[in-house]
Amino acid sequence: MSTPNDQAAVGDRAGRPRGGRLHPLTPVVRAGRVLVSLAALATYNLENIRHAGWWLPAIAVGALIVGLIASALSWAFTRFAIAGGEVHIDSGVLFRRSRQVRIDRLQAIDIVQPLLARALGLAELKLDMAGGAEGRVRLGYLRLDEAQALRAALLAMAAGLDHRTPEAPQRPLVHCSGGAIVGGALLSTQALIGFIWVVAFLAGAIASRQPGVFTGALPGVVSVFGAVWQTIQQHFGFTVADSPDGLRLRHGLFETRAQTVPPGRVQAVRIVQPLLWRMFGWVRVDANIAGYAGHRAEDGRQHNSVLLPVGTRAQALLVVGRALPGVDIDAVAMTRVPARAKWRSPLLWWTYRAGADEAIVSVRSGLLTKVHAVMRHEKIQSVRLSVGPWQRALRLATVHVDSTKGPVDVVLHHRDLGEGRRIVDAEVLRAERGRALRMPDRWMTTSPGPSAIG
Amino acid sequence: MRVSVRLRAMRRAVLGVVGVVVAVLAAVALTIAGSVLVAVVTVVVVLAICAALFVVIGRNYDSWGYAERGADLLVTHGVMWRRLVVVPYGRMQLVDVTAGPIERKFGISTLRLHTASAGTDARIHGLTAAEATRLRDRLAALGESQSAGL
Repeated sequence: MSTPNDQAAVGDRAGRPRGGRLHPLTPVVRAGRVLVSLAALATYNLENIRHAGWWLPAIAVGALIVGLIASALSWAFTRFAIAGGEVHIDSGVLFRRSRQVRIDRLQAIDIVQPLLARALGLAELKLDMAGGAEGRVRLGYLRLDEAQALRAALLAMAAGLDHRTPEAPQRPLVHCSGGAIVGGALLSTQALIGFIWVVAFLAGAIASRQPGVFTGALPGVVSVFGAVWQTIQQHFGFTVADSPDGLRLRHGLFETRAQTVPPGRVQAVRIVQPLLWRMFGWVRVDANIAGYAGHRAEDGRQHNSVLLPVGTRAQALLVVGRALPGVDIDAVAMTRVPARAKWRSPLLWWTYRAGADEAIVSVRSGLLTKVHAVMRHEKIQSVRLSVGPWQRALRLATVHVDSTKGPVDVVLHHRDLGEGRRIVDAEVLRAERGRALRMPDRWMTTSPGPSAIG
Repeated sequence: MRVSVRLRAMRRAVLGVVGVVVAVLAAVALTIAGSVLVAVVTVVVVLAICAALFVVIGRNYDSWGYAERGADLLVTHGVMWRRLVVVPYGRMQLVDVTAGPIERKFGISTLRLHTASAGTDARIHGLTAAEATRLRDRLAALGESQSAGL
């Protein structure tokens, strides 16, 4: 296989590029993932398997062989090339599929290495385009150095530079210690509920002298701590680095993931502090990134929208400062909601704070879990004002500042009705002004080039 | 801008048909069951509810409004739950015009705006077919000229 830099030149602009192949071990890694999921299924159903006959392993082996053959065929029919600012991928055995993806629409690039791929020195390249799950392009598997070279070439092209530009240097910002990751996961609200669950059922079992009470609760406990374990596995060794190509995140214990989020692709961020994290002053930073939305289905959890899984507030501000350049989120003057909002929201009304300056809109709320959400005006998708019957009686209104899909919601609850209307007008105006002055999509060029989305 | 009065006409027609059907069915069933008094009371209650809904439909119709402004489209509706949405033209991803069978009978359609946000809920019910087409084409053209990446 030729080197990626040659591949970038492969394929004349007019004709159909023939393109390169993925690594020949790709089917092995794909089938290996099937094996892992079979093994996981088996451990969950250990009791049933013990009573099953010889046919069960036979089915498993058969499924594995069929999977291997299918992946091998799929590999043989897949080719890719990079030409004319586009990625071309031809795939499909029976139904041929030809995709062309414009690189300037790139929202993020991930290099993912599952455990087996890591052992073989392979990696999968995931390109996230705006447009949800349909906009995701996977190139896997490639040799790790090839994947990295390809990423550098794609980022250079997306930035508006020549594809032979070497990879941009990076500067480390934050590294999360293993202790903080494990501690953070164990002190999360989710784990706390798990502990309470265990203690409650253990107490119930002891009080009633029936162990069945406790074993009945086990599946719930397993799923809660399975989720906690997943968080630890995915975030272990989290490092955040800054480069001219944007934020670079590396993390993962077994399956490692290296994410690159180019400048201007972060739509909104929030700083979250679960109840128990307060004693250590820890916070988490999440972000809305257009390409990452809608990938929940892949493994049931959205984990790649985390910019910092656990860190001090100073570290969080550092990361937020890089994700939204030129923004000082603590400089925004925040105002509370009118006291009459207590009739509508007796527990939370005094936690709502909101404010805006020329660059951002900023919202804080939360009694147990504190959330501080921030968004640049120019990233606003739409602005909504809603007034329910109870709110109308109290002359209150809620303003939603809509961002792309993701964990961050910017909602200004229960503002004074007149103020709410003024906020809507002001946000719309600032968004319009912001869009006119926005950063170019090709971040190394100076003019706002062809827009990513019409 | 107001939406077409045919929206109100359609909703009231649907209400009338449903109300009459429910009233007749209830009257027949209860009369067969042997209680004429209960049947009469039920029919009166059904008709009262229909009368109330008749007024509600009118008020809801009056609440609908939209405005094409310089850089954005503004849509407002709702009586009890009042809603106002402002969508900048540059943020529109696609514009849908749909018309169900009943809507088609009354010559109206529904226009929906989608942005990259799941929260944007910008619908305009009860546009005449001509107005829906005009608005769709205008929004598409404005969206193209003011398009602003993500």
